[in-house]
Amino acid sequence: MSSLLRRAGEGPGSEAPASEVEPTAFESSVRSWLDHHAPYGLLTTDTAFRIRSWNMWLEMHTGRPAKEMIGQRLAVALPELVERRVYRYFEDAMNGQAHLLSQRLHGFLLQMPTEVGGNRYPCMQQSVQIAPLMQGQRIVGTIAMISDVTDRVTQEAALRSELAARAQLLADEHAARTAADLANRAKDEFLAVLSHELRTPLHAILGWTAVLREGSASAEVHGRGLHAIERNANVQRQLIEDLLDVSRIVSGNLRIETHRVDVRRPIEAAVEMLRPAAEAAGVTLTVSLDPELRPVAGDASRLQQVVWNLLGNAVKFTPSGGRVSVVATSHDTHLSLVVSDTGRGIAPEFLPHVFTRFAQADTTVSREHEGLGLGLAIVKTLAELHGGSMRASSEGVGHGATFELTLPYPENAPTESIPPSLVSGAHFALRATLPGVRVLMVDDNDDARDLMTVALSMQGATVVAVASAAEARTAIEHERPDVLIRDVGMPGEDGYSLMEWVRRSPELATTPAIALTGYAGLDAQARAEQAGFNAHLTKPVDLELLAQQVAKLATGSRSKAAKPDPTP
Amino acid sequence: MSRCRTAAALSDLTGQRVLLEAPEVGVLQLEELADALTRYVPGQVTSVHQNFSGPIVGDAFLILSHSGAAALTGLLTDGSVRVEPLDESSREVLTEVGNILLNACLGMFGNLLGVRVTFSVPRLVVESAHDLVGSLARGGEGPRHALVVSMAFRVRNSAVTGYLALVLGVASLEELIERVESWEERELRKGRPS
Repeated sequence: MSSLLRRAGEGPGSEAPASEVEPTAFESSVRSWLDHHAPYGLLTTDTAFRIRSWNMWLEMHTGRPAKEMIGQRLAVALPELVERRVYRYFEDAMNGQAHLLSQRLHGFLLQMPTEVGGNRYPCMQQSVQIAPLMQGQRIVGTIAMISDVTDRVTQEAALRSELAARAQLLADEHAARTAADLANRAKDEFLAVLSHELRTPLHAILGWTAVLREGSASAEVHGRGLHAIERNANVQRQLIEDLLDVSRIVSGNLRIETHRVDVRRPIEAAVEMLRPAAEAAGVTLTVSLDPELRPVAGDASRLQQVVWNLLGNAVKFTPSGGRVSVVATSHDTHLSLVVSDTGRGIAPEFLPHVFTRFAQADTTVSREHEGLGLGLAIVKTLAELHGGSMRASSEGVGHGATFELTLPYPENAPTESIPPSLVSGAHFALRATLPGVRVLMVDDNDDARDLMTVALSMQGATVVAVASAAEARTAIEHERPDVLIRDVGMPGEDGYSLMEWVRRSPELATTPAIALTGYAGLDAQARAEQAGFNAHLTKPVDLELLAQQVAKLATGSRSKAAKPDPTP
Repeated sequence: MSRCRTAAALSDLTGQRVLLEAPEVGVLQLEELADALTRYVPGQVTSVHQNFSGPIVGDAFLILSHSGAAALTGLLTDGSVRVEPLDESSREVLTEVGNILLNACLGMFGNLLGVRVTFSVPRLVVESAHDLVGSLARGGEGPRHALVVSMAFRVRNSAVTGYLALVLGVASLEELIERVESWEERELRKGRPS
């Protein structure tokens, strides 16, 4: 038997000396161990491929007893070997070849279930060796040794999964780091652009202020200077408003006030605001509004901002002689507003990023156009807040660009319409006059206080200006103003607590009050209303709007004061 | 012919189109083999080893660099085994591939010589070229020579280079060369116009 189990190729010289163990007894012991205790399957055949041994391991795992298998031809007892084309390895063994059948490439030799770690697997994974069975130099049959490697395969698969997960984690970290680097770079570029965009109008404002202060400018130059100062201050205001909008987008606080809006009005208002700029740039602006347009549920001022941004971009990027068109079309469930131009167009690689915050196709110092690259990001967010969407397309650089806004028609439109004053934008036709109106102005900033005093005095108001809450308490009791104008953010006691004190005071409680603050947005407005302010205006304030509000509140206050007290 | 059959067997087994090229053949003394292998395969060598016996006796190796072994296994298993480092399943696959190649090659030589040789079960060993050759020298049956065939496996647009080495005694080698030459002559005669 020792010669039967000897590895092929080992010569007779490696056999154990006959004197050490009686060959027959030795062979019997080995055979008995292999039959009953071998931790693997052992199958032997003779030269005619008749099964000569089928050990207990095989009996256990196949459920087929040795007495049934031994003596049968291999191809008859195990036809699957022929079907699966592995029978040929036994034939090769008869020709002297030894084969290793790897689990990965074959899976198994004999289909049988197994149990590993308490888990039952229907198909045991096997590693198999098939070799010639030698007696001296003579092949006397074949031998197949079958090992159960299911446990190993399961562990390897688990390890591969773990390694793949780690690799994925590493790749994700790398991607996140790359994204963070890109974001940082974009932020740095943005800050550089921001600095430039803030300094440019400042340069004009400070320069013109110095010229005007010098006093020798002609009336024409004086007017031009004031116009330039106003224009550049408005540019800065727009920058700040864009930044605040982006800040709200990032924090998820950008909200809209929904009303029933005739969308023609914000479109027309934006077009009228931009028409002078288009004419000055030599750009032809055409507008076509579908008469079938129906009202949408939205925020008129925000919709105007959207159109203004799209149109402003189109005008900005279209050279003299070019065309910009605004076309609004009504569909069954929605309306579409298409702003297209014949301008510089958008490079294909930049098109996917056109609505990304801080993204600008050109961030070099030599770039041709101003702006922070925030407008389109804000536009997209506003469109989405209205339940709509934005889409950009361009045939490439030099071939113009098209932006399409779609807004859904509401199933049930809100019935309340937006007040016209919000839609009309920066132009107010009414000039308020404030003869005899007593105003108490509270602001810790000397220049702001002085500006308000001068502006309201010019409208005929009597203004008492104080710089602190303590002074305000004294002044309000003595002066009994018709209107209180209060800066909210002040050192020490803030404007809200002063207002709350006023509202608690029986004698002063009805004094109308305007909150004047650098904090913009619905939250600031709500907070002011909660504290008892009658109106909320954001710095920099439009002086005419301020005068209007003062006049309105003073009229109400005086008419209340004129009425006889009905109580006895 | 054997090369084609081997490639077909590998293709059949792996489901991938496998091409085999054997552009160079050389004969070295056993003592020169380690240095030659070091030149061909830097670092540890991965070898599939089978010895054969019969009228001629010797050792047959498929020799790959570590990276070549990993690449070949990865290509043949479509990346479904871990190749870096080689896990047990990868080693088994590599052993089987070497086994197929060595069986085909030794079978061909057996046919040429008109003798039947028997083979041992293949073993995969990772060691230095000097250790590999050293273990052969310890067999000590007179001067031995190595017939070295460089091979390139081409799978899915990638190529992995390996070496096939048959280590034989002088008599076996001489007989092999003689048989190869007469086979070549017969083949040439078949090709000539009558």
